Amino acid sequence: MTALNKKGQSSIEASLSVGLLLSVLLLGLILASQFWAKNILTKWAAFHSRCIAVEGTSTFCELKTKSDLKKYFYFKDISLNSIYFMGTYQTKISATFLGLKNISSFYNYQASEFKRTSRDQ
Amino acid sequence: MISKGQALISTLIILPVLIFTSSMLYKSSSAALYHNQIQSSIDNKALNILLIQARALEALGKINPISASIITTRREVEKLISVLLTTPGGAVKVPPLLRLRTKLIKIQQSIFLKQQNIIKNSSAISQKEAKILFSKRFKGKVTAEVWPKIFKLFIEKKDEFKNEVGAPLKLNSEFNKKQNILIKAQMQTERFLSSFKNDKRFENVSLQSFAQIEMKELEGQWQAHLRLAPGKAL
Repeated sequence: MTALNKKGQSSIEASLSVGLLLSVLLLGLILASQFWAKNILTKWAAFHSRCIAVEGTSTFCELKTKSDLKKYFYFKDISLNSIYFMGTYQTKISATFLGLKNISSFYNYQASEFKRTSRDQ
Repeated sequence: MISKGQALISTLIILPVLIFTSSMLYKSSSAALYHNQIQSSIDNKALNILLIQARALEALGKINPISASIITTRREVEKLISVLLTTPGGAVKVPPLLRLRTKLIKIQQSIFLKQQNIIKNSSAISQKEAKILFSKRFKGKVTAEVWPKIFKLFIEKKDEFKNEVGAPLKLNSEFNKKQNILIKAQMQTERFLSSFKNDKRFENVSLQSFAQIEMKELEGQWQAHLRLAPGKAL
């Protein structure tokens, strides 16, 4: 093997290592961003469920949740779906994150989190 | 093609940037979860304090029928005594009735002490409960204040027993307005975010929890429920 070939090979190896490292880090960054986005959505799903339980109406809560999500974070096309069943408010929330990926999350807000009654005792 | 030196330099530059960005994302999402945990923690605390008060009100409601019947009986005895005193030969029957009256008054006094115990205990336990709002893991991250500063039950004697000791009690006119609790918490921004002060996302987060007891009468059912604080947004 000539000295020129050796130099070329080591250069390719270095490029590949850098490429591999960058790919892994980029993948990690994408996964971390998704994890972050999911956490944020879970937080707002919890906020929405609590808001409905406390406020008793969903219009104000939906508007506030959507406007805050749009204002503070990079979410678009937010859809909210809330149901009440057996003392639990469940909010499902999905949104497009950074205009790229649709992320969804949900939160179950139990009755014990917003009220106590004499019948529970 | 790039040389080994170039690869090393680019890695040394890119790697810290990526690590920093990832750690920002991780810490930011943890902060979002803290937000939920703290909200849930103050909600729970507010409801637990009201639960102590509601149980006290319930206990006082249970005493009411006994207290009312003791006082009514004593009043009947007193009427009988006054009738006997004006009846010829009736005075002989008065001493046992007087003894009965004394016993009924003693029962009234013990009912009064029981009522006072319930009221004082409820206040002391609520005060103790309000002292520790968060677990140690939130130490230094959250500050909180609780209203009212002194817990009391908004009750008074029933109208027909106003001047009696150990009288049956009822909810007073301020109950619906004042039997509540407000906890305001300030969650400190994580130190690493302090350089982004102009960005609203990284400001200290204010959280609040307002809860009320709903009860129509002392002897009835109750519900402690989170509510929107009067004139405040969520």
